[in-house]
Parts: sequence; C-alpha cells; structure tokens
Amino acid sequence: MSRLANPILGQYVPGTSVLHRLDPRSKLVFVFLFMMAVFLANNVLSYMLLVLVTATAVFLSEIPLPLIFRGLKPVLYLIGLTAFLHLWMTRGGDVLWQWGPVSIHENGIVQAGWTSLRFFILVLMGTMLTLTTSPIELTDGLERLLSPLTRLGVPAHELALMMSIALRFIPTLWEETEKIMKAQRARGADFESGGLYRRAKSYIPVLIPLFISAFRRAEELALAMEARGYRGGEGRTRIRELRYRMADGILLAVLLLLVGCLLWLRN
Amino acid sequence: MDIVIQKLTHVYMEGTPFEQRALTGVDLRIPSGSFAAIIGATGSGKSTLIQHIAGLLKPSRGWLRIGNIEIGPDTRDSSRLRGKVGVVFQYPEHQLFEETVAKDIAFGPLNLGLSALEANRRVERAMEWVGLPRELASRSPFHLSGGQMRRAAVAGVLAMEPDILVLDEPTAGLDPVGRRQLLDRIAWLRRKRAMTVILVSHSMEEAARYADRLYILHRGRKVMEGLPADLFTMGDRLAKWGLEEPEAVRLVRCLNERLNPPLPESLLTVEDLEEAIVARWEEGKSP
Ligand SMILES: Nc1ncnc2c1ncn2[C@@H]1O[C@H](COP(=O)(O)OP(=O)(O)OP(=O)(O)O)[C@@H](O)[C@H]1O
Ligand SMILES: [Mg+2]
Repeated sequence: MSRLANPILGQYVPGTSVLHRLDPRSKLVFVFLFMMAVFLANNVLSYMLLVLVTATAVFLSEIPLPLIFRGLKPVLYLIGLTAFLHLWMTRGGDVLWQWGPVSIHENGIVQAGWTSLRFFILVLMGTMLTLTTSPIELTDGLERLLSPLTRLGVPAHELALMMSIALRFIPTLWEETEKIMKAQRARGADFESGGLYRRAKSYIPVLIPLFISAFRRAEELALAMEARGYRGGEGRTRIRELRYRMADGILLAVLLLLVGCLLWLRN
Repeated sequence: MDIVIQKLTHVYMEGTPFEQRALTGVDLRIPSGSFAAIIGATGSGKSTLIQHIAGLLKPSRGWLRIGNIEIGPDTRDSSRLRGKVGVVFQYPEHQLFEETVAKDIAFGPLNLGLSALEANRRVERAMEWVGLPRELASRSPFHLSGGQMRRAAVAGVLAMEPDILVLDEPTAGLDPVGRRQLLDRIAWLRRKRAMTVILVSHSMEEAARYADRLYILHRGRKVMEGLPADLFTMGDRLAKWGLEEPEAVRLVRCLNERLNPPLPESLLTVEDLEEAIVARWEEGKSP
C-alpha cells in the first residue's frame, strides 16, 4: 500500500559525523574526481583499493547500513540487469555453457563481475555525498565552485538557485503525488492492474492535478521571492559562510594518494 | 455498518530515522448512522486515522473492522472498502482533473463499474445534492470559483453513494456562509440517505453544531469520546489539548456567573443561545 514510504535514493540524513562536517566543496570535488578515478582501476588490487575507500566512507558517515541499502534497492536491480546482459552478450575466452545459440563465455562472467562492482562503487560514493550533505550545502558548494566561471558567462548563481529549488521541491512533489494518488484511489482508481497502456493511462488523474499544483507553486514562489526583494545573485551576502578545515585538507591528501596508487597499480 | 477500531497504532516510515509515530493505541467505535466528529489540534493524527477507515493505510499494529470487513497489519487487499467508504480529503479541489465537471464527477461511479447511463444519473443527483447549478456540468472544473470547485469535488465523492462519508476538514478555506451551506447539505443528505458521516475538524463550533458524537485526539491518542453536551464539563482540559470551547459555551459560562437561575448547559450553538436569551428576556418583561 505504501510504495512511496521508503527513503528516496540518497535523501539527506542529518548527522554530525566527520563526513557531515566536511566542506561541501571538498566533498563535491572529491566525489567528482573519485568517480573519474574509478575508471583507472583495471585489476584486482586497484578494485580492492576502491572498495576499501568506499567502505571507509560508509563507515565514517555513521549512517546505518540498512538505510543506505533500502535507498539503493532500485539501483541494485539495475546493476543486476546489466550484469545479466553482460553475462549473455559478452563473447571471448572459453565457452563455459552452451545450449543451441545461447552460450556463456568466460569473459562474460568476468565482465559482469567487474562492471557491476564498478557501477556499485560509483553509485554508493555518489549517495554518500547526498546522504551527508544537505541540499542547501550542496548548492552553496556548487555555486562557489562554479563562481570563477561567471566571467566566462556561466550563470553560476542562477544554476545553483535552480538546483536548490528543484531539490527543495522534490519531497513536496513526492508528498503531493502520494496525496493525489490516495484521493483518486479513494475514488476507485486502480494503479496496479492491467497492461502497460492501461496502467500508464491510469496515471492521468494523478499527473494533471500534479502539474497544476506545480505551476501554482512556481507562481507563488516567484511572487514570494520578489516580495522579499530577491534580485539575483549580485551583491547578495550569505548567512552560512563556507570554510575549509583540517579535515578538508586530509580529504584532498587521500584523493591524491588514491589517484597515485591507482596509476601505480594499473597495468 | 459500525466502525470498530482496536488498539490502532500507526508509525510512518517505521525502521528509518524519519520514523513518525502518528497514532498510539486508539480504541474507538462509531455506530452506524452517526454523525461523528473527530477533533484535535494540528498533527494530532486525525488524517492518519481516517485514512485507515478509508482503507488507504494499514495499521502498524492493532486492527479495525468496518461492517464485516476487517483490516489488520497483514491485510493484503483493502479494495473491498472501495465504494463503501467515500473520502473528501483536505482541499479536495486539488484532485480535479477532467475536461468537464460532469466527467470528473463520473470518474468514481465509472470506476465502480457502473454503466454510463447510471453514472450520468448519479452525476446529476450529486450535483443537485451539493447545490451546483446544472449548467456547470459541461464547464471545465478549472474555470469554477473556489467554492464551486470544492462542491464539484465533494460531488465526485458523493456520486459513489458511499455508506460511510469521511470529510477531512471540508470547510478549510471557505467563507463562513460557504462553510454553513456545505455542512448543512451534508447533514441533510445524511438524514436522507442514512449515511454515517465522519467529520474531521479543528473547529469546536462545527463539531458541536453538527455532530452527535465527539472523539478528541491529542498527540496520536484518543483522549475523549462522548456527546457534544460533554463539552461543558471539560473546562481546562480542552485547552490542554490545544482546543477551544465553542463560543456559545464560553458565553453561557460567563452569563451564568451573574444569572439566577442559570441558563441550561445544553446550549451549544449561537442560535440556541440566542433563543434562550430571548426567552429569558420575554420572561423578565412579562411578570
Ligand atoms: N505521509 C507521512 N509521512 C510521515 N509522517 C507523516 C505523514 N503524514 C503525517 N505524518 C505525521 O503524523 C502525525 C499526524 O499527522 P496527521 O496528518 O494525521 O495530523 P492531523 O491531525 O490530520 O493534522 P492537521 O490538522 O494539520 O491536518 C504528524 O506528526 C505528521 O507529521
Ligand atoms: Mg489532517
């Protein structure tokens, strides 16, 4: 009955762990570079190193494991599916099993294993960022990181604002969806049965009210912002100043060390 | 169909850090055909409670029975309640979606599997019940006034002709006249169709005027169950639960400090009080 009651993938979990207290800018840079570094790994040792770093991050975040994995569940299905496809589609190496035109090759198993591990590490590290950084910090950090680019005509402030508004309204729209679905269900709507076409069609009574309320909210928000004197980013001061600390330096050192090791282990 | 609720506990998102306990061990019984008011301050669990009655939420612990349908934590299919319990949610006009008012009202009846002809009949009947003029039937629901939208949405639920009608703060955001009209209609329809009506409200005035039974929730627990007349004897307890006595009750209390003999303690609405005062006035003039 309550399909929507689970935590959303990567939804911020408030806390006071080391990861929570890091500067969002360093977390953003770390995760971004880490994700690229993952593609440097090409043997068992380098993958073990990546797993070690990811596991340390999970440990330091102090977020209960079941919570992390409940959010990841949909992604796990996706990973399972890619592994499954790799298993059947990749050719090369010994043929391990054959039945008519379908066969499993040695390389298929290897590929399926490495790809899903890589995929998993990427997603897990990505969620560690959003699990330990509030949307506000995230967009603040992004705005500051992008701000040197304003000279090149990149609207850093506007981008960050759009992102923070979008993030701010995801839970609201989520709640709204739940509410409207309940109301239509009480009027006998059925979202579960029937073929794909019928099921897609059954969402019309949810989507139309949802769009209407989203537009209404957008209008109200614009009005409220104007009424409070919002004029864009120029000359705006902020209540939370971002500041690098000791831990941010350590994170940077870890990153450099990791990239160095990966380059060294690579063959 | 009686509604019996036993030890109902509901926890949202149980087992996560976002866990929210909304109801704790609620026992209550709403006899068939009554006009029940569920009252409580914001966040006291009213909406959560009625969503159980509508079969939209399952208890975390405990169970409830509506007629002969029982719902517990392990119940899989609560769709049997559909059509029997109609719910008008807070701001029901936000669920309108069809091209015309008539089509929107017909959504429920058609989902029940009724023929187009019967659905049409029900649309006309429901529009009449809520007092929507017939010529609005072919209008877009989004071009109605706020009050008309509200009525159209209520009609959409009434058209399913439920045995139990649940209204979650149906008057929020309406003007005083609109409030009275809507609830008067509902009260009239309840007598006509012998429905059970469950009204969720913040307002003691509304509860005292329309309901024949009151249930008060406070922080997820049921703290009082009784008759509107019991409101007189509760004094400060209401304030503790974040509620206010009806205006008429407060006024009678003040007047009785100076009146001898005192006014009877059964005057719950301003109209009753007015009548009593006028009678007293006439009495005072005549002897
Ligand atoms: N979908 C939900 N997810 C998590 N918590 C919820 C949800 N809905 C309600 N709650 C919580 O449950 C508690 C009871 O909420 P409920 O909506 O039942 O109160 P209410 O009495 O209807 O309040 P109101 O008068 O404001 O409508 C509140 O603390 C609320 O925050
Ligand atoms: Mg409510």
